Amino acid sequence: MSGDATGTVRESIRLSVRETAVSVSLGRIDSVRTRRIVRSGCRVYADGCLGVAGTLGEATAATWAEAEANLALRIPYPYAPGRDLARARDLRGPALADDAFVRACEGLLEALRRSHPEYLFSNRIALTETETTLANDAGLDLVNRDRSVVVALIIKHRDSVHIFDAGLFRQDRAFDAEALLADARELLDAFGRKAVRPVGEKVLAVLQADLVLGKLEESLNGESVAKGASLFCGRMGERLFSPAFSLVQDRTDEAYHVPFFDMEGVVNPGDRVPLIENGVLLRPYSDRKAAALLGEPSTGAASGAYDETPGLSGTNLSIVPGTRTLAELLGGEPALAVLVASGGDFTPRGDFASPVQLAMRIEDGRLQGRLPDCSVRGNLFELFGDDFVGLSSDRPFMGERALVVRLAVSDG
Amino acid sequence: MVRFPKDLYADVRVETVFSTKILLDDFLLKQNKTKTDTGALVRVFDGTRWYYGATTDLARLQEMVDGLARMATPAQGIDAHPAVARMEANRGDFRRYADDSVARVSNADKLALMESYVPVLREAEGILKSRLYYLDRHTEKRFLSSRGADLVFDIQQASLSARYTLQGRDAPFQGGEDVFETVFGRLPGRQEKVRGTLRKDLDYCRNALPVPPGTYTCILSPLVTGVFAHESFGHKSEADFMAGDETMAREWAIGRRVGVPELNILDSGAIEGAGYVPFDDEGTRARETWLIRGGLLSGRLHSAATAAQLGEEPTGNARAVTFEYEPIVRMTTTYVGAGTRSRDSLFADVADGLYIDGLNHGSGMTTFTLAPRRAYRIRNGQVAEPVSVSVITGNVMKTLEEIDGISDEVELFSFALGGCGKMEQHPLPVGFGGPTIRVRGMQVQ
Repeated sequence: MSGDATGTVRESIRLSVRETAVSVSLGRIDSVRTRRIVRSGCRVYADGCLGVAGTLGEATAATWAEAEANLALRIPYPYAPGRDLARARDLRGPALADDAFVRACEGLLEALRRSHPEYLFSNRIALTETETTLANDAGLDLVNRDRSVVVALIIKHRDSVHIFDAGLFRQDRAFDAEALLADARELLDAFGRKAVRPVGEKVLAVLQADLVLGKLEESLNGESVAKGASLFCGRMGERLFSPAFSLVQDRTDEAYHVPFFDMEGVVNPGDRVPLIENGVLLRPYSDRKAAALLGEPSTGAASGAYDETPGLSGTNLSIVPGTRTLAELLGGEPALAVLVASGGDFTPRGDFASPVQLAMRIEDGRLQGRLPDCSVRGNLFELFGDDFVGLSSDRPFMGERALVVRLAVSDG
Repeated sequence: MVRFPKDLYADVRVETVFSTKILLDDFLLKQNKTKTDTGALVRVFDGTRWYYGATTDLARLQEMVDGLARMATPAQGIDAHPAVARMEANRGDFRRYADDSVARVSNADKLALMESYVPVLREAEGILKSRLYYLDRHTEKRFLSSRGADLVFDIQQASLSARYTLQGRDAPFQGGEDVFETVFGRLPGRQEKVRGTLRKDLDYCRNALPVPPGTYTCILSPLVTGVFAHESFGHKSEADFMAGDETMAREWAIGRRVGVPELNILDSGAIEGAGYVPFDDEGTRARETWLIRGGLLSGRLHSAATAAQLGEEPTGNARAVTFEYEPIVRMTTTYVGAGTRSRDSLFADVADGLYIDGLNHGSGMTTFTLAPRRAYRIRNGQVAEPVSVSVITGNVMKTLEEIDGISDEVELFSFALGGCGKMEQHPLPVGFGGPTIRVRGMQVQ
């Protein structure tokens, strides 16, 4: 198939979400919610323009007619749509019926209440299944299926006057109650002990990468790079970061509910694209428009809603893990584990600061005890440069790899 | 429309949302989308557990009600349950924007309006990248309950939003300005507002130098005051965080002193703007709630369920971000009340401090943070050079005691893009604002 005789290509997008979620209050389920939502988009490519329309539910002849009619809006799209590629990826683990999921949640909560009676657990546990399809009459036929359990429980000590004290956040493709209970045990055992903060001008800190990847995501936007609106303009090919630091655009099965294709149907070998390799800035991430501006192939980072023209707003970035475990990265030195840090930000030039609402001392990869509230500071080029230690090969906390860097730490 | 099950509480909220999104990306048309979506959320309550279902298939709404009812355990006398007894049974047609609906305005007129703002961005030197958005949304909600509620009401917003990246002194700088209204007809002719912010952003990003970290007296603009009130105290006033928790109930006893005597913080869903909700998503009529009056804790934000748990009354703050979600306790328009001092007098006796004029974002629980977009040093009572700040932080309760000046004029704001996030529900439109306030001892990094 290659579109019709006029060169017009018709493309469909279908996003399906099936979710069962329980809301948790004071350690017990207080509500059960089911969502069964389908969103469908129709695209018509013709004469260098794109007509788009969408609907909740399945696309109908009327949706296609609307997309066709919207060609009259003359939204420019002078790029060839994806073609001649068929692939389906199914990342779903074992199926879990709604009632079995609710029973599993009840069991987990009962175990948490029994093991940790001095704490209150609340918020949400969700079982989510997604299916994303992108297909056109030029031979593109891509399907991504995924299913995950997200446990997002906030934890409060019964005597605490804080809204919450800690969190149990874990995403897996199966309901792993044992892993969750082990996470809770390590976290809350340490929470109950007071510890001494490591000292130094900069201390070893263990974080989740998401806390500090935002500025890299902003600065690696291909359109910003092409238009001189990024910190990285004119610096491609330079070694800006530590030789131990590599970063990829990640559509592998490491990421949950991230299709292996972008919203323009671009697929990459191994589902990843190196952006920074051994500290050298290789390329920004791009969609077809940014790629044209840069004179390079698209990296497959197009995003956008099902009923919109694709665009470039951000992408899923992953630091490439090293070969050392967290304990090995720490090398016997005590460190600060940043477990809850909300509200931090970078300045335009890359200076970073964040309050830390829950910090713990960590030694040899194990949480030792709670530290008073503190603040951390760093700079983008130092965090991933001289201050970068590595991303752990293991997943020591809540199923996540640990990022180890050096940060300045102060009280309050 | 639906038959409600016996011996259970149930309600249905059907939302019909007309929306437009037009985007000029570096002055080229990138999006021009108009659509109408309809969906519904069903709730069933058996006195112990709530059951929710979201659907776009309205033809099978009754099936969803019946299916949720089968999951529940019928409870005789459910109407006497404290949460159910607090559900208002309002009836009637309360649509306000039917005649002024943005659905009645053509996309050509909306695009023409955007084009009238394009010269503001084109004429500025130093813009590396720009986006101009036109966004509107007219939402009509029909609410029915087994308690007898049967009402229809609507909310609406229309906005223009400019977002740009400027070449700063040593790094790109991202700025922007919004023009927000509840009807389309009030959007034209506001170019000077966008132009003024753009001029300030250009001057700021070309001249700002990093501020030495430390403790400063800070003067917050009305916009920053509003975000501060929302983040620092508004979220703490949402009663779902304290319902059923004896420690929190003691800590948050009404009448407790939580701020300086001049401090008042209010929330109201009746104010036109992004936080306007004449009824909440369980049919409770909007009202004004004083969270702090004269520095004393005087109220909190409730759904019917949290009000029942704390023995108080609903406040019209049960809100859902879309029909796909159940209502939870959220703010509407939250603001600091007016004080008695002139704005100028707040600056006059500051020898060395900071003026926080604009904001990228804020957050807050026990500790709040504000990430300034524009900040200036105050020297000898005057606004002086621009300074670059990562974040301002502080302990919420200590900071409310450190406010030592509140100006006499309140400004209210609504953002075109983004909104409030809580748990999984983001972005919820809210309003916020207040006067200019002065706060001692803020941690600046």
